[in-house]
Amino acid sequence: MNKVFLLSAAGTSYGKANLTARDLSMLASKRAIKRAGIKVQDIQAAFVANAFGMAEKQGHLGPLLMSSLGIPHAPSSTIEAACCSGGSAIREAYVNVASGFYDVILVAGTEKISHLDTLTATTYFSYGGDYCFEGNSGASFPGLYATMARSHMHEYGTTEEELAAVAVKNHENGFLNDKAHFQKKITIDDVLKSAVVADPLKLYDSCPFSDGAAAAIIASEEFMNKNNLQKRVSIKGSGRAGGPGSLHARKNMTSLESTIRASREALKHANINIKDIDFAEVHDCFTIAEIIAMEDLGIFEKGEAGKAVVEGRTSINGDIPINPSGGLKSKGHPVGATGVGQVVEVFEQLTGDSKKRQVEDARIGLTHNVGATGGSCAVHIFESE
Amino acid sequence: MLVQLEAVVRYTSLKVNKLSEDSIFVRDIFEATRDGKIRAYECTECNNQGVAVQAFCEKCGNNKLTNKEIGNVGKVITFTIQTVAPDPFVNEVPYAWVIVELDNNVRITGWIPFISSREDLKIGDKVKLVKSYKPGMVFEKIT
Repeated sequence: MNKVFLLSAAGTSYGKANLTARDLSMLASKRAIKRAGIKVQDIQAAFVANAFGMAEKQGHLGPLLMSSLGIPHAPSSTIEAACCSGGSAIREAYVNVASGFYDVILVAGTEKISHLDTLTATTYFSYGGDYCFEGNSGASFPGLYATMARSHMHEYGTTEEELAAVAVKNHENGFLNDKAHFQKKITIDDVLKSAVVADPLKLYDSCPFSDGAAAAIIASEEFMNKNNLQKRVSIKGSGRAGGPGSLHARKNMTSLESTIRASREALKHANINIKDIDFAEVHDCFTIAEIIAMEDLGIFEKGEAGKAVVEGRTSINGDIPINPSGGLKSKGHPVGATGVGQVVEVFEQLTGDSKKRQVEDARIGLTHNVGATGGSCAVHIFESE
Repeated sequence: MLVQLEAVVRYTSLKVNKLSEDSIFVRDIFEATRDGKIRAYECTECNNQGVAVQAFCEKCGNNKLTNKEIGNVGKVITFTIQTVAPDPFVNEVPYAWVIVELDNNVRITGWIPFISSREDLKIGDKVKLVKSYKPGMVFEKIT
């Protein structure tokens, strides 16, 4: 396989936007292309990550985006893997460039959902799991993660305060991110006293419904050399895996099989150990998800991640910073954009461009993106050159 | 009724025999749960069972699966109390949503109306699937 570079990545602010998903993807793509220092005509193909296009009565977003970039002939496909759409699109771009089929691919993740009322949005999110068994019998999307939280608390003694500490830490990071949906600090008490959504998860354990977009340009070494482009960040490892889409089809409620498989594949591919990474952007759609992710990735032993967060080990100045961007919890969760947005954070960290949230001596960064309750997972490892 | 089941029953005239292709379809499962019964697949090779839409056995890969009724009593593996609900459960809150383990380690999901706090249910409690007098798969706590 050929060496693959992350030539550039850029995004929009996350939050409530008065732009459509189409506008947002155009804006993020334009910023990424500008940051890459290439001509738009250099882009040969695109993968567009968008999960809830139907919420705007618009599917098949790719050709519209490509037309607005002035390259309507370039082929594009929408990649849908629920909340893992972005990470999956990065993977497809990686595979296409590593194989030598294409030299330059645009990945654009985008979502517009804030115009939906809470009931509609909650119901849409429940379509990402096994709806027949779950949503159809009254489980909301937070409800699915709430069952994992209860199992984790039951098996490992994880506490609601430990869950809350994840939210507090991510809001501290988001406070430093001028593109984050929530740029305010919160306390453990704020989390514990917030409204219960699906016991034991509360409103402040949950990520928001955000609008936003992010884009990345993936390029081959040959293209970089030919155009005298500075090699700043390379993709060192790529991992993808599936897991049972329904909660009742799995034996273990405190772990996501797809995270374990995808991360081991990415680490093996990168030929590194998890201890070698300097920071990670992980999929914290709920506080419990960040705890389970850190344990499944192998950063902490099973049952130890909650304590590590309380001790500050995962803060920006800790020994292994997790979600320096603020994560889905504070930076926001524009579904299709999320996995690509993680790559934007890694790009900025590895190029020393993260300002107040800069992780010191960041050389290797990892992204971990999950679809629904673990039916899909994408893990990528990036290194500064 | 399950939306997807409704779509099959109401809008198509397809006559698909049960057990055709030795697989288990959405409607095989949800027509049964409506009546408080649970239909599982069973592998004709290794006897592995599961409540799932299935064409190949997850355990051994065999493609010949039968479709049989299994016991509808089990214990709660984990649960949540839903206080914010998706459509059409808005007027039912709060209620419990549960993952239940039946005989032979087979698991299924459903909800229990009128269980309104975490004090009202414990992991390990015994529950039974009942006839759907409300949407979805409805369980009841039994003693």
